[in-house]
Amino acid sequence: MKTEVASGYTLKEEPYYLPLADEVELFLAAYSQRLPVLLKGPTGCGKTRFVEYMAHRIYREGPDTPEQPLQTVACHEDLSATDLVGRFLLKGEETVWQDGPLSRSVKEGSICYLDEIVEARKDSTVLIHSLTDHRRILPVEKLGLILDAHPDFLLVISYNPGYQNVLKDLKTSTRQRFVSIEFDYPNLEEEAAIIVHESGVDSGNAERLALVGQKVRNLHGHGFDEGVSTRLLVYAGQLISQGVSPERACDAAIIRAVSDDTEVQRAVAELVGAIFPPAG
Amino acid sequence: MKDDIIREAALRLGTINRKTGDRFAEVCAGLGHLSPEQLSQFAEDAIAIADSGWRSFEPLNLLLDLGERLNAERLIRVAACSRQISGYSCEPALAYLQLVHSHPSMELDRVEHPGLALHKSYQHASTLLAGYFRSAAGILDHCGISDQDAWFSLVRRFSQEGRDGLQELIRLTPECRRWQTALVLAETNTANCLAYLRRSAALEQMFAGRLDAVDQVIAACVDCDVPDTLLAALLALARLPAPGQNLLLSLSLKLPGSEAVIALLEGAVELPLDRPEVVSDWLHYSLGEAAGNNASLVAYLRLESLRSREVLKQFRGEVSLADHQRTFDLLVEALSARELMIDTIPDEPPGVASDFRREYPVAPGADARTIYLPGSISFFDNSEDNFAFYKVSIFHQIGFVEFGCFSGINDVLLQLESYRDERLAQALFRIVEDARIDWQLETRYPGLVPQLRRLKGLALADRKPPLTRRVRLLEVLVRTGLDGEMPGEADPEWQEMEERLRLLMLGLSFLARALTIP
Repeated sequence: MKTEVASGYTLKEEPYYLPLADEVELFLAAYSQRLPVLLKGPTGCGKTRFVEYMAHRIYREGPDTPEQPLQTVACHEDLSATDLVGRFLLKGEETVWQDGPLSRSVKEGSICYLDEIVEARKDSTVLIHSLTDHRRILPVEKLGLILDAHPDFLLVISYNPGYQNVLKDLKTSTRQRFVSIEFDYPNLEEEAAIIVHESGVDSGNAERLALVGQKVRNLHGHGFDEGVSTRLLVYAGQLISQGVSPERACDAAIIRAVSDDTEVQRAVAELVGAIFPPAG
Repeated sequence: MKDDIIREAALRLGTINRKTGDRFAEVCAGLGHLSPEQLSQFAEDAIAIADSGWRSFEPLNLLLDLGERLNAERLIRVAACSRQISGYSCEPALAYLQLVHSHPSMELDRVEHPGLALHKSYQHASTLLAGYFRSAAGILDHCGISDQDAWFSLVRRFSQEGRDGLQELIRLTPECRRWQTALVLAETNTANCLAYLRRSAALEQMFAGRLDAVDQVIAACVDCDVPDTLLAALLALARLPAPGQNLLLSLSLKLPGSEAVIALLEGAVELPLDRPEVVSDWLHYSLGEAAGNNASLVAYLRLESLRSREVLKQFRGEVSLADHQRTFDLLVEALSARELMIDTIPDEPPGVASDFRREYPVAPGADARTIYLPGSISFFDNSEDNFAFYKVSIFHQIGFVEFGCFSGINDVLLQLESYRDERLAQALFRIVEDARIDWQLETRYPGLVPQLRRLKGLALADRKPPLTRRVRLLEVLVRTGLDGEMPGEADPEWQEMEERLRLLMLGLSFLARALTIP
């Protein structure tokens, strides 16, 4: 039986990540003990980038570096255990087995990152229990196998308590299997530095974008719970660096993105208009 | 024969008053060209006048005086008329003859016919008749030919409708000079005319030099069955400035009837009369909007309809707090990270000194939980600038929190306690802190700079020259805070204060140091 392998993320270059607290040290300590890690934080605050950065940092110099040091799975409500573990596929006259990202990671000893885990179906959540305790095994029912996890394997999940409700909360039995690292948005100076690096925009505009982000995040409970993400600020910076006026860039990347409520949009637009100098 | 007539009549008159008899003989001697019949008629008329009653020699003497001034035919005619109106009282004849005396060349028919008609209708109404002739004298003295004709027409018109109206017309005649307008009104309704006459003196006093415009409006409202209301509405314009009055008068002529005119005038106090183009646009829009529906137009012009208020707001660029409340609430929350409320400025804003309130009754303010803003803003002629006023006010009020007014307040209070005059200390603190906040806003929110500078410029233009030295010192601070300069000769003490504020502006000082007593 052949196994088809999808191309993955090789992390040849170090991803940019600006540490905000002791998250790097904490992750390294957890990894050294192969303790599964739960990343908590609002949308667009850098959780995924952090995992990429840590994967690169952990695997960049190792002799047994897997081809894909990080398997990232964006979980959704139709994501099942099969999607994670693997499935048989018809290919020509043959039936071939394709490992899922979790199986592959378990076999190769890479980091498997299940982004927004609570969005996935319950069977997939339960599946990870055996990988996150002392057993470190993955049952593959369709093959009648139980895979022992590679010694370098690490499971990382992320979860956003801000907008996920009680119905989609992480079960206690799942939650208590992970070391939890909490993320928040960076402060003004750090966020400006991130925007400069990621978007190529000048530092003045980056500082103003960071100020927009800081102010908009004060608007809790007005149709958007988390304000504007660093990712959106970076998008706005990228538009500005491409010659789009700051107000138009913020309108497209921030104002229209954060809410459909016209009054919220107006308020944010007024804020943007005050923060950026007038054109000309 | 002529001599016999004269002698006989003179004797007859002499029995009443000897001097009058002699005078008659003298006058008749000068009327040699009269035929015996004419002379006889004149003598009969003179005797009839003399016989008419108490003080009758007074009109007769006046008639004889006229003998030297009128030609014979005219004298005979005047005598005949005087005779007709003599009787119960000498007053009518006296008034008539005085009129002829003062206007010897007037067209007699014009004056006599209405008078004789009056006499015929009301034979014993001597006061009325005398009043008519005296009023006619006034009309001939003070009015142009068109108004004179209008007045005589009015007399004829009122004569047909009863004595009361006529008496009032005569009584009110000295108070009016605009008889053509009165005639236009009387043609519809004499009561309307009297209502106009009752207020004509007040109208003349109020609209001196602009009565043509007033009369045009009144004449355009001849359909009016409530002239008192119309006239009261016109007189009520006294509380408005003259340019506003003129605007309303000219706009009134564009309206289709009296009800609409009254509605416009009565609602005028709420209109932005200092911006005529706005009022004019609003009114023209109203005519289109009402589309011939008078009730709708009246409601619109009285500003009773919501639509009317909305349209006016749009034309004047007015921005109201209520219309943007949620946007402002969100802006405040985003800026301050607090749930501050926004409310309209109360009569007694907490924490605002009473003298400050008097000076700036619409100045935004704040306490720990609420930002107080004016209910509406129409300082500028477009909604963008008026909205910007709100926006800058919100940023300024939040600035007290954002730029650390409260974090260093203990040091500031310590400095203020060292002032002997508490009110001066408060005023200084307010002025310097307001200036500091605005400068900080310009640095952190460069998008606000054009709006801030515009508002500062307006505030600067409104400053009045200070009177006392102490106020001049505060004025220096206010003007420096508004990025302006103090006119006049520089004072070393001013320069010291200016310098302190400049350091604060550049971020090279802090509030407590700026307030230190030298």
